[in-house]
Amino acid sequence: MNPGFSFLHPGLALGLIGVSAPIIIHFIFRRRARTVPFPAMRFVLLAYQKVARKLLVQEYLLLAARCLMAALLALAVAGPLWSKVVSGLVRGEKPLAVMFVFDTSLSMTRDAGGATLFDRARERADEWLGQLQGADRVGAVDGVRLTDTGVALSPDDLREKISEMRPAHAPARLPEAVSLAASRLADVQGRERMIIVFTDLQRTSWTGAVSRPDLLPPVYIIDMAGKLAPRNVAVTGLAISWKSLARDEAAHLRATIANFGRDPVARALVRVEAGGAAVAQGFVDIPAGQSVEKDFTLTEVPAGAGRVTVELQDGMTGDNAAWFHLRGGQEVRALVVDGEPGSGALESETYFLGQALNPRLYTRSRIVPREVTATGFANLPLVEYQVLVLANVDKLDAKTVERVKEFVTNGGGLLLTLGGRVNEDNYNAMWGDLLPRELRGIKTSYAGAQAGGEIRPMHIEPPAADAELHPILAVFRDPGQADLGLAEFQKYFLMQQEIVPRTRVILRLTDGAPLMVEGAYGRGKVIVFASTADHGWNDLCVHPTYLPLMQQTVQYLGNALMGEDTGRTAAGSLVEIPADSDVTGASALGPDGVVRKGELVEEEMNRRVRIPDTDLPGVYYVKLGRAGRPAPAKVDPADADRVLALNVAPEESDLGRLTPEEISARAGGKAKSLAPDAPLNPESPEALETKPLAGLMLTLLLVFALAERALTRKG
Amino acid sequence: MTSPAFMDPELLRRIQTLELKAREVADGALLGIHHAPQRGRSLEFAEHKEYSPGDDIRRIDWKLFAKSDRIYVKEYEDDTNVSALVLIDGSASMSYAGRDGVSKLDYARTLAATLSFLLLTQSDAVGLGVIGQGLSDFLPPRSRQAHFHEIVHRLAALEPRAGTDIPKALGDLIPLVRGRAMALVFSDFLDDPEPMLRSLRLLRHRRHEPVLFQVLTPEELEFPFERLSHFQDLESPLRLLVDPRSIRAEYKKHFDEFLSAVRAACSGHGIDYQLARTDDPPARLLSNWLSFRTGTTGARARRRS
Repeated sequence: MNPGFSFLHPGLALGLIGVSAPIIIHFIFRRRARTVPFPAMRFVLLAYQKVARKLLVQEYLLLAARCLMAALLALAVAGPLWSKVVSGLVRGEKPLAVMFVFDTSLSMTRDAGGATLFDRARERADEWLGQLQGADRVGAVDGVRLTDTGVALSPDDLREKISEMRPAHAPARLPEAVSLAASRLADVQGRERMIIVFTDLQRTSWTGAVSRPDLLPPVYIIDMAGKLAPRNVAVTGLAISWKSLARDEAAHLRATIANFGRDPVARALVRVEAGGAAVAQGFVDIPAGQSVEKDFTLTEVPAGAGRVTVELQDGMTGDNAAWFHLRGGQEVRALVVDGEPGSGALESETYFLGQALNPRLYTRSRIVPREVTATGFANLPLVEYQVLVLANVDKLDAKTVERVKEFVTNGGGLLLTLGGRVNEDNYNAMWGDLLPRELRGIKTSYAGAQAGGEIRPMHIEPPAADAELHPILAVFRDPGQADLGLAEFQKYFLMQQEIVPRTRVILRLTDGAPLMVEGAYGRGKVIVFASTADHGWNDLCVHPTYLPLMQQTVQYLGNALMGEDTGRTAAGSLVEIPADSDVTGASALGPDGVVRKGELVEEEMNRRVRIPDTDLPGVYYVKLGRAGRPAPAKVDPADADRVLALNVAPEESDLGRLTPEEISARAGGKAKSLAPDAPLNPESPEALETKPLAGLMLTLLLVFALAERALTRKG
Repeated sequence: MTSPAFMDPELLRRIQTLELKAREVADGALLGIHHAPQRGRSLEFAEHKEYSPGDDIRRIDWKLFAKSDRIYVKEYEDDTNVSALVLIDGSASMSYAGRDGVSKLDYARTLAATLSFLLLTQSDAVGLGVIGQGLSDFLPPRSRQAHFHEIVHRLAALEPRAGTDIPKALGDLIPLVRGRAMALVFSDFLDDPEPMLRSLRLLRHRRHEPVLFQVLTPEELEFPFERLSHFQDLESPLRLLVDPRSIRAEYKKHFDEFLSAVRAACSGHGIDYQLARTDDPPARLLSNWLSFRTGTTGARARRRS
């Protein structure tokens, strides 16, 4: 049987001659019409002229309906059949073992006439599964996640698995997926093997080559995109810069928007949202195949998640938005307690600290410090403050200590700077577990016996290049801008070494002694600066780095440290966070509201937490479990240790395609590219799908009969 | 009256039939067709009129003159000396017979003969005219009983001819009639009604009294045909292939509008109008019409007194 229209009983199709019957009857009736002499012809003519056009149309419609009815009846009796070539599977004597590889990358979510490319691929796979027989075995591989079902499934079981598959936002790794499919088929004996890959031939999904192409069975690459025009605009990059550390100042956001299509895009609306509200917008013109940068000045941006969106209905909308996260920036009220007030301003323990926290420049500082003496501090309520600084404060009464502990427990920040008035024993006893580490005693940095009593000052050790930088030190990332190592430290307190790490060392001196240590207490944070805040034991306060260090420290303690994540991490990629020695695990709250449990990975000296299930672009809030405590089951975004904005990998937005020859080369010449409706083997008996049309004809006949009846009644 | 010796036997039969029919119908109808509007010399006093030169001095009311010192003449209502003219449409369209086989012409003939009989019975003068392309076969009004046979003979011998021109026929009539006359017009009036009504108004203006009998078959009124047919005009070559069901509503709408227009025009100009359906028994139709007319003329008389 050939594809196309045919009949079960072709002889009966001669009944089509009956189509002429209504026309013949029509003319016979006209000829046999009797003549009626009639006097009032004036009125007959008038009436006829009024309805003549309508009558003519009705007459033709009636005639057409009757002819069609005759034709449909003749066709229905002859048993009409419609046959089309479907993509039949190559079938020999043996049962089949087929691995389907699905390109589940974002580009497969493009619309292809009312359904996505991925949906079309699923439908095509379903058709082929329908052609398989009981003894055949099948399996599927997810081209992005590189997970597979094995090859032992029946077609029905695989249908269920395929229906559960979802496209990701990440690029596919199809050479690896094909290799995985081949390895599964390698174990199968006694069957005809083949791999069918559903892909849009996106270049970024085919980086690399299939391993061991010599072991590959026939690979059919089904090109789902076909002639679909590559039309895509994407936000491929975001950069945020803070204008200054001062309050009321703006941030700059630069969005990079790329046009991967062949046509230029004019006046595309770019919108910036933050805190759930639109904060800025503008238009961009993007030439074909190029990218443009759009700058936005953001004022009073609320902290939290935000995104930049290109409002455009292009081929792929999944990459039209890029997420970012802003934090900090709010005002911090700090109570600074001077433990050694001097007679003059310069002699005061907190003079330099007060100047650093509120430098009184051209604009207001984000920190509002209030300086008091230790005596005055005893009667002050702490609820108005976010940060408490105790500078070289000696022994406090038990009640005040309790108030401070309660303050920190409730989320306040405490900065302890030390000095001559501090006695380590009293201090350790007074603060107890509030202190990140117990104090051991004062160290004066002498040059050694050979140098007599000469002091050899210590310097701040620059952080290791590959170490994770503490947020306080983010501003010192570029040593060319400010070098902490220039300050000299003559005296400082030594702290107890920890056997089980519970605290985090922010800064060390060149002799390895911790200079700045952070510990957690309740919901708050405590930082101990092991030297004086003034020039008593060091000269840090006269170096330019003093101001940003103290500003950053107090803002950090007040949870107001400005920072951003502009989504440089790709959604769907391996997301790992460096973990200090005290980290026990992590919980991550995703944009879908689901908390993922992070997995602690320890490889030699490299500890990190791996966050699973990061397919979805958006902002993830990570809370680390520390100091023997596991990661919490719930994550409060306001209390997150890390915030990650994950976006679609920019390369996934590029819809550039490979040629069939390039694909074939990547599979050692064993791959054959085909259109979705092309048969794998037209000679296969299953390649011709036949549908009887008699039912359809009879239904149409009924419809026309009703129409004829309606027209007759109307006439 | 023409000698019956060489008359067509069929015509003779038709004459006899028509005479019989007329008398039969007349028996069934009421007597007293009219109250003569002409002031004349009968005994029934109508009204006084101020004397003007030319008035018959014998009619001066001298008693009133003695009382009022002004000269009045008496006027009387005369119910005996009316002239009636029966005008019958002899066009081809009048030959149309409905399903009951009664042609409009036959029906009109019966009515005309019956009314002639009734009028002559009341000693009124009756004349006859045939409406064709003009007025033909005119028979002046006479009140002799023998005149009835002449009228019946002419009616029976009437053969329908091609077209009609009612306005011309009425125009032809005017110089032939002296004094006031009642013009009983029997036609289907299927032509353009406007010129015809204009002529009737003219007739009315000349103080004649036109009475229209519009003779129509039920088929013309209701268009009850069902089958696809060629409809052929009776007075022209016009021929249409039509499915009558598809145009019935529209036909009736136009026809009803036409009838309403004729009726309204007649009513507006004081012209008596009577629709004569050929399926209506002539006796009943005339009886109804006469009752209506008696009421109307009585009312007129009352208004005058």
